[in-house]
Parts: sequence; structure tokens; C-alpha cells
Amino acid sequence: MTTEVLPAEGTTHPAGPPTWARFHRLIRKKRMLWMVLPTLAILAFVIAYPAVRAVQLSFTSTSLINPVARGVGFTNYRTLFHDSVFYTALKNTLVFTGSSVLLAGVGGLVLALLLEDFLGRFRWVQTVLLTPWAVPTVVAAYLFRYMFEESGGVVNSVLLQLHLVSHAVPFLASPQWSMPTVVLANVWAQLPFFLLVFSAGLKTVPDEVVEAARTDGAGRWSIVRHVKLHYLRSAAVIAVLLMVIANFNNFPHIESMTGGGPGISTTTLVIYVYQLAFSSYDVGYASAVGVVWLVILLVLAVGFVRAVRMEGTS
Amino acid sequence: MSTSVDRTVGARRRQGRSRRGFGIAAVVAAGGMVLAACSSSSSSASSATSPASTAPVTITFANWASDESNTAPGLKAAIALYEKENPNVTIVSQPVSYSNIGSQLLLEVRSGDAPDVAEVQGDYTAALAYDSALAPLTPYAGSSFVKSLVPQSVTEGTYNGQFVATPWIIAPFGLWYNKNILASAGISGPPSTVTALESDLAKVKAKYPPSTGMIPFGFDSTNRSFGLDINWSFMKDFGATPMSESTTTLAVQTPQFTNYLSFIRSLGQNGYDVPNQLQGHFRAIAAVNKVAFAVDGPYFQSAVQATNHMTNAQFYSTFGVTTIPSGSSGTHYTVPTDHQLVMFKTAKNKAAAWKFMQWLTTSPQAVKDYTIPYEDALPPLKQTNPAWASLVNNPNFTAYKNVIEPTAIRPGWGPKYDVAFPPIMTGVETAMTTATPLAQIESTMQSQYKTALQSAGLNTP
Repeated sequence: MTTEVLPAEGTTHPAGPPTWARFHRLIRKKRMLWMVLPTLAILAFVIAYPAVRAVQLSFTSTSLINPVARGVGFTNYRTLFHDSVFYTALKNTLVFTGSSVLLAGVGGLVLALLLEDFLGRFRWVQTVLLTPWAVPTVVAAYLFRYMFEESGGVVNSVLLQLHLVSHAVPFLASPQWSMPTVVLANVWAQLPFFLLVFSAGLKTVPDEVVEAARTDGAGRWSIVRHVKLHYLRSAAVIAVLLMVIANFNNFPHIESMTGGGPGISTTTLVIYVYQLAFSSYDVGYASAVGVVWLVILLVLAVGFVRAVRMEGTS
Repeated sequence: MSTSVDRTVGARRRQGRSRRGFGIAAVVAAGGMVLAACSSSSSSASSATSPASTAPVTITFANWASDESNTAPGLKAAIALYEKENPNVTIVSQPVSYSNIGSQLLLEVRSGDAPDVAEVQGDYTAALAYDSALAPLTPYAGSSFVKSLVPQSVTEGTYNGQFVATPWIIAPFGLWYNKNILASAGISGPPSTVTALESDLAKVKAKYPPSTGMIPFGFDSTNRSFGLDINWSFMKDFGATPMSESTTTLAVQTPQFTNYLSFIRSLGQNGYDVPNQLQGHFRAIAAVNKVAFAVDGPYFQSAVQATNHMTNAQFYSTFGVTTIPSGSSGTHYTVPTDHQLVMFKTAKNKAAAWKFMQWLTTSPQAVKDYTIPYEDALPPLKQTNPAWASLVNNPNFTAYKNVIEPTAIRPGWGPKYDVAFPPIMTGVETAMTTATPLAQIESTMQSQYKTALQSAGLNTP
């Protein structure tokens, strides 16, 4: 019986691991491969198949009404290139995602820093602030929809009674107001996620480092800026990545509040794909839009992952 | 030392690859799940023959009536009664929301899993008919049955010369009005023309400032085929017919359509209507006497009563209904939103399925116990049956039968309608909510329609 002795973390084996041990480890890894096969099969079925099928459909004229689908090459992609609704939907997606993540992220960070010292009997404040995260998206969306109704909504009632506005504001019925209103509701729902992530991140900041900074004469703002934010970077990158993906795919929130309207002022890519596929029954073109949307997501994901790696390296 | 550094860098690279892999997998998972919705199989089932009449039969019945609280109990009772009268038949009711039933049925047809019978309406019927998914009903219905139906409703269920959808409830849009609100605003009766309607809306608006929460006109402008259905009759008032299945351009860059958009713009800018609201939204507000006029089907009554629990007498004394106002031509138009029943080609027992469809749509029992009390609508029969004659002896049913139904016209429902409504309704809402020049809106509609037709492969006449 041989015992493999691996070098400890951070140390160097004089001549690298023995060849036999390396071979043994490789064999053992290959033997274990079968254990991941069920997972790979499920992933292939639920992830790869739809993705591959969507790519395939994007090169066809498949419609739910017309059972005879024919290959159309790159026609759907050429059409997409000239589709003004697609560009509006793309712009809306970027505005919705960017502003939601930015506002919720900054809000979550500020609250996490403010609540950092809330201990003991004030800890419930943190719990209360986290509750929106537990509210189902559709429920939150409808709550905000009713609050922001032009006629009878509580927000307009308050604004009118305080004489802050002379007429009810068409929060959800005007292209100027609809997107900011939808973003506001989304920020309310997503801010607790950032609060949670940043609160956890702040707990990892070593007290000694903060004390050392304080000893060096750093003020509260300086400590936040030069010490705490530095420790929160990795958590922030991961949180932002997750929320960018979540908001890119955010269907129920917008559908429940505005359905993409008025006009197409809140139509994002996911809403557009849904409308194309299930209202106009144009599955081929919907797939082409979906594929482009997926590519954009992949580019974003790769960019963020690289940022994480660079963060780790630095 | 160099070995250690190499290993550390290698580990970081592996970690980076691992993280990148996780990130990509996460994105693929997120996107793939939504894209999965676009996937469909193209298999189709074959039709089956009818078993003996006493053999146990199961009929699957997809409908939205059992998905809505005001009609679900009635339909459940009606089905139970039918099963009692036909002990060998089991009806499996499949509730599907009204908004989703069109696409769901098409998807089920694609996957070879269509129900035997379904409740459909308007453009949904057209989509299934153009998909060749529906069984012709004439061989089962017989000519005497077809002749007993309101002719207009038979026309509405006929596609490519085939009678494929039998009418269940007669439901054209009418102009509903709240008598109390009209009286308080000094309006003596409902308007007959669009001009009179605009005048009445101004009076209501003057009487009730925004702080009262009053909506002068509950008019659906949402970007969906039902939204275009509602707008269609008003477009016709202005002499505009925005699209037809036989052409590949929208007839929106015309003086008639521009006049229609001007009318729509005045609704939005004067605060008469709330843009981007589903018709159902106005029903709930109408129930608390905050909507003066609304364009809706006869089911408006059951929806309102389900909210405010008015008795029929109270409802009739508060709400009236009349034809959609006419334009300068003096001709009234309405769009039928008749609920229809269709049988799929894949239905396993077509004879039994038809027997159930016939019973539910026209039997005195079903009409008396379900159609009139729960849908608040007329059955599709020409002759009034003594069993339910007294139930329809009220002003609203009389208005629907005598003045509204005869004005019904069928819009250009079909594949092109499905790709035409997004650009048209987007333009309508843009006209309603912005100051964008109308000519520019019409031009955008045209180009968006051209793109949509091209992507759907429908860019040939």
C-alpha cells in the first residue's frame, strides 16, 4: 500500500508529485466521471436541447399557425437588423437592467453601511428591510401597479392632497414615466439582495484593518472608501453579475405592471420574444431574437467573469 | 520557487475557467429556459373513430369559463348535469386563462396533445382554422341545426367555406353607460355618434375632476389582438380598415386613419381614457360607479355584479347598453367577441364531442342555467325558447338582440391580423400618449408591419 503525500498549500514539492501518484489520481478521476453523467444528461436535456433547438428554429420560418416550416437561412437575422422594435427593446433592456442594478446596488450598499452598526435590539430593522426580497415578483409588481394607478392610486392621491402636483401623474400610462416607475418597483424588490450580500461582505472586513486605518487617522468616510469598499469588490462583482442576468430575463415584473406598454416604451427583449412567439405566433423570428439576446448575455457573463478573475489576480 | 508560482497561477487559471464555466452555464440556463418556450415539436396525432354510444367516453374540454370566478361555478354545474344525463360520458374541464388559450391550444396541436373540444373566440378561432387543426362541424351538426342559429354567428364560425366553430354565446361589443353618472353630468341619454360621444365625455370630465377618480371612457388600447378588436369598430366609424388578409400593406397612411388617430389622441390628451389598461381593469372600476362609458361585451354585467353584488334589477337601473356610436356615415359597427366551441381533428370521439357541444350551446337547460345567468349573454339561437324567454326579457338583452348584434362585422382575423396588431396598437398607444406627429406614427406602423410580415413569411398577397 502506497500513501500519496501531497505538498502543503503554498509549499513546493522538490521534484513535483511522483509520476505514479499523478497517474493514480488521473485514473481515479476518470473512474469518478460516471457519477456526473446523470447530471450532465439532465443539463443537456433542460439547457442544451432548448438552446440548440432555438438556434435551429431561428433559421426557419416556423410559425405556430403554419405547420410547414421551411429553412430561411439568415433571413430572420437580416430582418432583425432592420427591426426598429428590436432596437427599442434592446435599449429598454439595457436601461431597465442598468438602472435597476445601479440603483439597487448603491441603495443596498448605503443601507448595509448604515446598518452595519445596528446590533442588539435594532437588528430587526435589517430583517424588515429584507422582507421585499421574500415578496413574489408578480405580487410586488401588482402592488406597485395599484399604487401608481393614475386614477385612484395611492401615490397620486398623496401627491394631489399635498398639492405637489396639479394633475394626476400618468406613471404607467405615459412613455416618459412608465420605465422609471417600473424600475423603481424593481429596485424596491431587488435592493434587499444587495443589502444581504453587502452586509455579509462587511462582516469579512478584519477589525484589525479597520482599527489600523483608524489609528492612522482615517475618518469614517475614508475607512469606507479605502478599506471596506476594497473588501466588498468581489462580492459586488458577483452580485452585479447575478442581477444583470436576472434583470435581462425579468419577464413577470414588466408583464404584470405594463405588459411592455404604453406603446413599446417598456418592451424589453424578453417581452418582445414572448409577444412574437405567443401573440404573433412567429416562433422562427422569436428564436432569432432570443439567440441574439442569449449571445448578449454570454458576452456580458464572460466579461464579468473575466473581471472576477482579474479581481482575484490583483 | 518557480514551480510554486506556476502551480498557483495554474490553480488560478483553473479557478478562473471554473468560474467562467459556472457563469456561462448560469447564463445558458437562464436564457435556455426562456428559449425553450419557443421550441415546439411538429408531431400531429391522427383522428380516431367513434366508439359505441354506451361505451365510456372521456371528452377533454379546454376553456376559460372555468378559469374565471364569475363563470366557473355555473360551468361546473352544467357539466355535472350533462354527465348525470349521460352517465357514460366524463367531461374533463381544463381551465386556461383567456389571455393564454390561443397560444396554448396551438402549442398543444403542435405537440399532438390538443383537447377534444375548446372554447375560443375571434382571432383565436381564426388561428386554429388557418392551422387546419379544426374538424368541420357540418357533418355532425346537420343543416337543420345550422339553420336554427343566428346567421351572423354561423358566418363568424366559418373559415374557408367550412363551419368549424359553433357559437356558444352571442357577445358583440356594445357601449355600456352608467345612467347615474350621465344624469349627474346633465346627459340625457347615450350618444349615437362619435361626435356626441366626445361631447358627452367633455361633460363628464367637467363634472368630475381627476381627484374624483372618475374615468369618462373605459376603452382598451392594449397591444393585443383583443385591443385591436375593440378599436376596430371605431376605426370603421372613421372609414378606416387598417388591414386585410389579402394585402401586404397597412391602410394606415390615409386621411381616414389619421382622423381615427386624432380621435384616439383626444381621448388620451383630454384624460378621457386611461391608456394601456386591459378591459377587465375598467370593469372593476365601473362596479364602483367610476366609469361613465365603456366598450365591452355582454359579460360586462356578470363581471360588474361579481364585484359589487348588485341584483339584476339594480344593475339594469344603473347600467344601460347600446350600439357603438357611428361615424359621419351613420352606420354603426361592432366586432363580435362571440364565445365559440371548436372540435379538434384529433378528437377521439367526435360524435360524443359534438353531442356535448350541441347541448352546451343550445339546449334549453344549458341556456337557462348557464348562458343567461352566468355569461349574461344571449344564446346563438334565432328562436326564443319558452324555457328561458322570461330571462331575456330585459332592456340589455333586448338591446343586444335588436340593435347591437345586427351591426356586427368580422375584422380581418387570421395570420396577418396576428402580426398586424402589434404595430397598429403600438401606434394607437403612441398617438394616445405622445405628441409624435401622426404621419410619423403611421409611417412607423407601416415599416414595422413590413418587418413583421417578412419575418413571418407572409409578405406575399
